[in-house]
Amino acid sequence: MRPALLQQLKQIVGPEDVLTSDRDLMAYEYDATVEKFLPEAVVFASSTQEVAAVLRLTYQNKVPVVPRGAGTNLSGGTLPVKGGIVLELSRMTRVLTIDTANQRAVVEPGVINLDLQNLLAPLGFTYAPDPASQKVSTMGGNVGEDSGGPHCLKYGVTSNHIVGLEVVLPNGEVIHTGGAVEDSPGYDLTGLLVGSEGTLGVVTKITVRIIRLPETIKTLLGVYDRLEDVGQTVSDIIAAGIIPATLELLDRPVINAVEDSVQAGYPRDAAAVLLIEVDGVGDGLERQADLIVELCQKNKVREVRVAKSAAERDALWAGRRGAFGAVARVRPSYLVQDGTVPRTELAAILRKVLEISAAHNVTVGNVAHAGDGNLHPLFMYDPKDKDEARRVHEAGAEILKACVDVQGTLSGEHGIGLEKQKMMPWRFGPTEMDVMAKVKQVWDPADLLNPGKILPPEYQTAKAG
Amino acid sequence: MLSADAVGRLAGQLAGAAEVQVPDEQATAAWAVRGRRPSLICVPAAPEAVAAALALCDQTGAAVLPWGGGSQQRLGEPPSAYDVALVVRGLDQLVEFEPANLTATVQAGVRLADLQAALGAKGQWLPYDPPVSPAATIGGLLATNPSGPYRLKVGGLRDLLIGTVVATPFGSLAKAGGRVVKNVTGYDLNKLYVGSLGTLGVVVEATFKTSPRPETEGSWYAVFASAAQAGAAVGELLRTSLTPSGLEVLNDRVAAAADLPVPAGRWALLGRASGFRPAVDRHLAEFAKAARRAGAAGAEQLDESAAGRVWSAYAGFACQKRWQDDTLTCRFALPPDSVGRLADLAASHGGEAAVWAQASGAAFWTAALAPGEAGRAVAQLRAAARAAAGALVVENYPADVSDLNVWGPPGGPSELMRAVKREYDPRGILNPGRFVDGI
Ligand SMILES: Cc1cc2nc3c(=O)[nH]c(=O)nc-3n(C[C@H](O)[C@H](O)[C@H](O)COP(=O)(O)OP(=O)(O)OC[C@H]3O[C@@H](n4cnc5c(N)ncnc54)[C@H](O)[C@@H]3O)c2cc1C
Repeated sequence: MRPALLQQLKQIVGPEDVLTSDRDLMAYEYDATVEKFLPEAVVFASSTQEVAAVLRLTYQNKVPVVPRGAGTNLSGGTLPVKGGIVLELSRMTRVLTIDTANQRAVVEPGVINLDLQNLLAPLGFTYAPDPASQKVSTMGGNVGEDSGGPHCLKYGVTSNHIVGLEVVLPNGEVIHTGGAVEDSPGYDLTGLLVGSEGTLGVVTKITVRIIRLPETIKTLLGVYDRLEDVGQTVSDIIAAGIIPATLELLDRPVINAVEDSVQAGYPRDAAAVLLIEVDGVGDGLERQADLIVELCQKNKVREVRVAKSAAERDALWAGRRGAFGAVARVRPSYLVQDGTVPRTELAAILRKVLEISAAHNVTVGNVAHAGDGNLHPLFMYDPKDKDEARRVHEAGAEILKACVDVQGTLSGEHGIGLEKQKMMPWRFGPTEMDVMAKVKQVWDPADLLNPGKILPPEYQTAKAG
Repeated sequence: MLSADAVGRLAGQLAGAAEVQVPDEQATAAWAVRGRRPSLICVPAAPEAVAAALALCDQTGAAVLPWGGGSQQRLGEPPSAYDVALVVRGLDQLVEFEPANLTATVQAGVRLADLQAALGAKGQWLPYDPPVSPAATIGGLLATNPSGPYRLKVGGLRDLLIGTVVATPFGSLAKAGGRVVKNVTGYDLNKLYVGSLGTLGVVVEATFKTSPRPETEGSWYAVFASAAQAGAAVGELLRTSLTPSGLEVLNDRVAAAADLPVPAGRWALLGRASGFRPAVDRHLAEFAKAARRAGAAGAEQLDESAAGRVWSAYAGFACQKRWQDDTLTCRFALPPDSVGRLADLAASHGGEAAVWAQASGAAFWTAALAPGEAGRAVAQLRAAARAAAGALVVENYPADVSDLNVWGPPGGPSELMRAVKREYDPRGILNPGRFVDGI
């Protein structure tokens, strides 16, 4: 990067907030995926004005910019594949307003998801989307990926909770979309921006919907001997008119990894456990829980545990919360895949995951948001073993193909990023790809913002001008 | 407008793809929008035919108005041109309904009422209850995006829609989303189509999340001296952990139409809860408490048959009043805590004002006004809505009223919205001039 340009960046954000040494940059050459690309500089912005000034400059100089929150995305979303700068937003951490009467809060993009929840809890409110990475992931990143979480079955994903945005366009112009109210006139640009993976604009303020915390929560754990019975239980619960807050599945390999590390008390010989939570007003919740127990029993559950206290609830959750960490201890590393199938296909696809992985001779376990049909096969492997790494990626791709084959999709919540763009044609034809390329064309005609993401390379090239 | 020659040629071409009618003067009246009439009526029977027809219109430069049930065609500015009514009612198939998956895929010409009946046969429904005509189709609803009381509990149409197939002016059929409830595979184009008034493409198929029908429902109403008081009761309820499936504030005229005994000058708060019996009972008890705290004498529970009557009379009135000839209808989009105050303000404008509002922030005002007064009243109310961080859209207005900006300032930069429109409909053939800022 030209020294003059670096100098100008330093003038905007302050000299200490531009990193250029190799040692510093190396911390930004990866995210939670495995590939590596070195940025030319890392720039920390602390206000909308700074973001706008940086983007005006990069626009004039045709420098690519990759917005970044905590860098926990799992699809290569923050990798600077075409060089340029990484624009760090993790210092924009102000919660600007909390308006409980209108169920809204306005936050900056660097606010950590869990920090917002913790701030709202004493007021009796919460921000519902709860990615498992919520202790570290930022609201800007959640918006970028349209993140989900265990509670999305009942409460919906990030896009259902974002009503307005302040965004800096690639040329440095600051715009506002949506607002505090539902249905402002015009196109729903807010909805389009959520999940756009930092390719359309840099989000600098987020207006979110906040909701009342449920009055009562009931947590149950079903222990099963057959995956099919879990699938049928999920269908039966829903058919009975109950939409639980969560329906989380862990299969035997994950159960064993969990027991090796956090000892959640899950039976090691079970085919799977299903973590079920219902919430809402207290009246009648007991009856819902009883009904769920009946439905589990109808489907040959081995055992149902019902949490009788907050401590017991935490114990049941400990295994789910610790699942990724536990899996990480089995082998030097792990890779999490993300696909979605219609709920009714869940048991079959989980079986398929095991078959495909066996065929590729790789170790796998499954965590799934069962109620949403969203599966997360976890491959446990050694990245230094190039052949094993290759087999893991091949198995992952084959699983996603299997998802698409049953009317499922390539990603339920982690995004396309770099990792899955070559698979996009499995799901969408040239027509759809053209329609999506038009979106990019409208917002970022110069192709400077997080270039090289989402669309396959042949659809990425911006039109002249 | 196309020349007679061009119309003739286009009719010949379209006939290869769809049924085409060249209507006489009288027949066009049924397809008139704000005094404008089409030269051709095109009725495709399949999604591919819709795409083919659009491509032909695009090549000719013919202005197209997509037409579902025709029940909400008054929404928007008058079309700046109108050659072809593209009627999608022929797309009337329930494509797939998988109860265990809680999703349903339907063609755009299916009427909401028919979809609900099909889902109801399996104990489910689309949790969406806008007060609309029985003629309203899925395509038309996606384009106009009205909402009903249930929005308070489960969100709006944008939150229920998970997949679309859209016919484009380029002649293609483009999918977005899919049949799974969680999906981040590329840009979320579904959001762009909801409420876009058919200006970007013609939705031919849509997939929704469905829900189990609630085990039971309970309804109740209370009478207040003002909308602000009713709004205070709403505020109390929204601060609790309750999850009502409707909290509607009605002025005396609307309450009377809904068969609620509300004295002149007073307001009703009509509430509903849906779910399992004990939870519904709990809601009813808390409703009464909140109503008393906000100044009502008490709350009256409606028995099942009365509740059915009241809700359907209310929806019927709201729908009929909203789109009636010679009526000025405005929709406010408001933060919940200003709904009561703005409803009081609206009720004081114009004669025979009917005002009804939803706790999630939509409020409606209809009134009889002399043609000269409409513009001023709208300007005043819009200013009040905007001062409360909200917006106001004129949904319907009498034929003798002109010079209204029906949309007001859009919720985002117009240049970007226009750029979106240019990419998706470069020749501007879809509903030209009817949407925000001349789109
Ligand atoms: C252990 C673990 C568990 C996880 N669990 C879940 C889970 O349960 N559910 C789930 O959905 N995901 C999960 N993830 C993935 C990841 O945490 C989410 O995608 C998260 O939202 C990313 O947030 P971040 O702050 O790390 O964003 P980053 O990774 O920094 O960025 C994510 C994307 O958003 C863009 N972006 C970031 N900030 C902005 C901004 N201000 N403006 C515009 N674009 C921006 C980036 O360019 C990038 O494309 C998990 C990850 C890990 C490592």
